[in-house]
Amino acid sequence: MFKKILFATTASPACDAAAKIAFELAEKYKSELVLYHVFGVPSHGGSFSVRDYVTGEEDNLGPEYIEFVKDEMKTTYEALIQKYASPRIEALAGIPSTEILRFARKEGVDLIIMGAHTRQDETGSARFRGIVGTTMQKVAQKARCPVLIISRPCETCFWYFNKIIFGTDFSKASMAAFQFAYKMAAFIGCKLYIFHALDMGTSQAGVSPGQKSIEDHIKAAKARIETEYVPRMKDFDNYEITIWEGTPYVELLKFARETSGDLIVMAHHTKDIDPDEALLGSTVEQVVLRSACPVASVNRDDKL
Amino acid sequence: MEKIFIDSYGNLLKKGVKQTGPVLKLLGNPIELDKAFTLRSFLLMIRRYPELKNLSEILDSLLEIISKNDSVGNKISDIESLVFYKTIEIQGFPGKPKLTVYNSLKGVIQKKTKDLKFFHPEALLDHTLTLGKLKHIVFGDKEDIFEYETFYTLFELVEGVAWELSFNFNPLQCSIRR
Repeated sequence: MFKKILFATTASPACDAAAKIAFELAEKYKSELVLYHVFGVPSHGGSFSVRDYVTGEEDNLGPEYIEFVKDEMKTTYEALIQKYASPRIEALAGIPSTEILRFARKEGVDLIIMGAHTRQDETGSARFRGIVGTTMQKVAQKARCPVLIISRPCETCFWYFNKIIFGTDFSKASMAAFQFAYKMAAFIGCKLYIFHALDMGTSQAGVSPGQKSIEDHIKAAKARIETEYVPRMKDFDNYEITIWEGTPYVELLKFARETSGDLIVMAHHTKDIDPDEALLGSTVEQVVLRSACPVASVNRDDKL
Repeated sequence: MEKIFIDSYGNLLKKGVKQTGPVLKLLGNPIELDKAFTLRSFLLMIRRYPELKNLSEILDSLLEIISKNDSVGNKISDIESLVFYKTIEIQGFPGKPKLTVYNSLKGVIQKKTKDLKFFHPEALLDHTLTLGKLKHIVFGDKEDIFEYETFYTLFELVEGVAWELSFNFNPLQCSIRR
């Protein structure tokens, strides 16, 4: 399913939950796992010093320093390396999102795994700091492969995966997300939930729609799912279509809670715009921030 | 400004008189909580004054979830109580210097706070909820936090608790029996 997995890590505790899933997933699918860490920005062109993102301190950049960073990474993930396999470890200086995308493209990576943040923020302050990390946001925006975002330790894990929830807003990017969700479900042999939330916040002129109107919209959404997604699943029949009304991210979280979903798959933005121009859709951000299970953000179908 | 007392049944009292009409005009008032005030009291308040539900997208859903588990005695042993408090944080690096003010709802165990996002909301219902002191974090130094007496408004409580509980949509059980 995934020949090459890139685990982009800050090698800080904020990425511990993502690390566990990256190692387990690589083991499960016999994938090549690359641990990738971008550790600072060169202070200027041709410079031999880097500025550490976390401490702000300057360090001399050279082969010895890079080897030192790699050794540190090995130590950080020693327990996982001993339990699973020894991954390839790469480290370099640069702007994290740019280098992660460059590496993924160059190496033909099938899946990028990241933590949602570079730091473990207070939930209370998350709203003012930008909901998800900017590196993650930029990677999800431009990656040509699915990006799996882990924001907290998983209650189940990929190893035992059996319920995938695909949330759709019927955008073009949602079709790419569907392809990924369906392929995963078919490959694993697990149940696929196709979920859509009627956004009641966009009711016209502030007038709440009546019950009849809601029911009509639900019928129309169901018909659209049956027309656009179901025929693409061919013989796969282990799926369920659910449509709720309300605020999309709240409904999706409620649904994931009710079904005990193991993975939520969504398009990374909600409108039909050029993927390169799209910012992480607010629904995805809200879901990533709060979801108990991993969220896969899929932007394009290039690598599916 | 007139302090609003909130009893353990979720009633808002102004000058000792139970409020029965619209309460939006009270949102800016400072509040005092009953000593027996719990998270359940908070949700009873939202149920009693439905206009407060409009302050957050998740309150309606939260009430729906909780209504399925209305029995008394929903406590977990991992925490002793709940505390709602305000933080002022000054940050110098990384990024541009900034000052952030935010509210948090945390569990308390042996005088230390504990994150609540890994617990189910049902399990927190009957823990007492108190208003804590304001914490002042200077330049990310979380070891030496200054603490000050402060006040909280009804708006801060409703909106702040709703935000924090929006992180608690955890599945009730793992889907796989290991």
